[in-house]
Amino acid sequence: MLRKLHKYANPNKFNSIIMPIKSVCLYTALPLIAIGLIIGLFFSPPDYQQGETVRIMYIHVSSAWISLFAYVLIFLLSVFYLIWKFPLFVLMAKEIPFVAIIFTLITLITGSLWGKPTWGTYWVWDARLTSFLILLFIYLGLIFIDKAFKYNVNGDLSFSYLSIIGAINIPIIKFSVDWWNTLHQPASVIRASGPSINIEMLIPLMIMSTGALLLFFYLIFTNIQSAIAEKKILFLSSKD
Amino acid sequence: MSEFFLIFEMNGHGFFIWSAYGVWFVLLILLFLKVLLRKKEIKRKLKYFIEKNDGFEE
Repeated sequence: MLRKLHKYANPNKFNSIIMPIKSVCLYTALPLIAIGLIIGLFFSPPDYQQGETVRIMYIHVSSAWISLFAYVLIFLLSVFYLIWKFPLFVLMAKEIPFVAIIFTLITLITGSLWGKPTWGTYWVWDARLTSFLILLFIYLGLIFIDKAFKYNVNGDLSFSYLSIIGAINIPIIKFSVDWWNTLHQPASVIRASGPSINIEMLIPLMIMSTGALLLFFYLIFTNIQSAIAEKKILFLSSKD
Repeated sequence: MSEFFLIFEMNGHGFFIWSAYGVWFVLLILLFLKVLLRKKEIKRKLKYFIEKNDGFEE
């Protein structure tokens, strides 16, 4: 099984595979986001407690899910790199933090704008918000390591180790609302007993999240292609 | 006309809702531009080096 996967570790082979997938991601993401926005902003019902402000959920929650999913992806790719030492794994992992940090920033800013009319404050040092801010700093750390050790094996190893250490924060973010008393509401979609959210709100949320996920993949695949081309440039320039 | 503005007023929460969507939109557009400009710049450099190295591609 693993031997069959070896051929895909070749950057050129990998490049040719992601090329069509990338286009499908973009051309599916854009209409999904447009439909999600229209339903979320104008057709979904207001919440019985939070009123119209619940509409911020469609961009806040989808961005938060992408931020967490991106970290899980970085963690897995780093573990794979440390086990099998395929440079393509760490090359892929290194292209994720810059895209993920924007989704994390969106989550924090939109959450803050949702917090003011709901809680009466833009920011509170509760467990969910603080752990999410830590995620932002971990992404910043990963970006700094990548920039500081560009094209260096020690940099690849440092990046992988930091991403594995930082993964401790992911279950903390997920379960912070259960482990501590927080202003942030508990999980209402991804929970053992099923979603407690109204179906009329769940549909635009899932449409927006799927659109955002496909857009995330498009951006990551484009970045990976750029990184592979950068390696080629480095090789060609070293021949001069 | 006033009904049209009522939609954007969002029961007095328009500022928070439209600001959140504005931030979301601007940050995603900036991210999109950054990724595409990087790709364009690398393509240009790669083309230059390939021409310089007599069509070497792999």
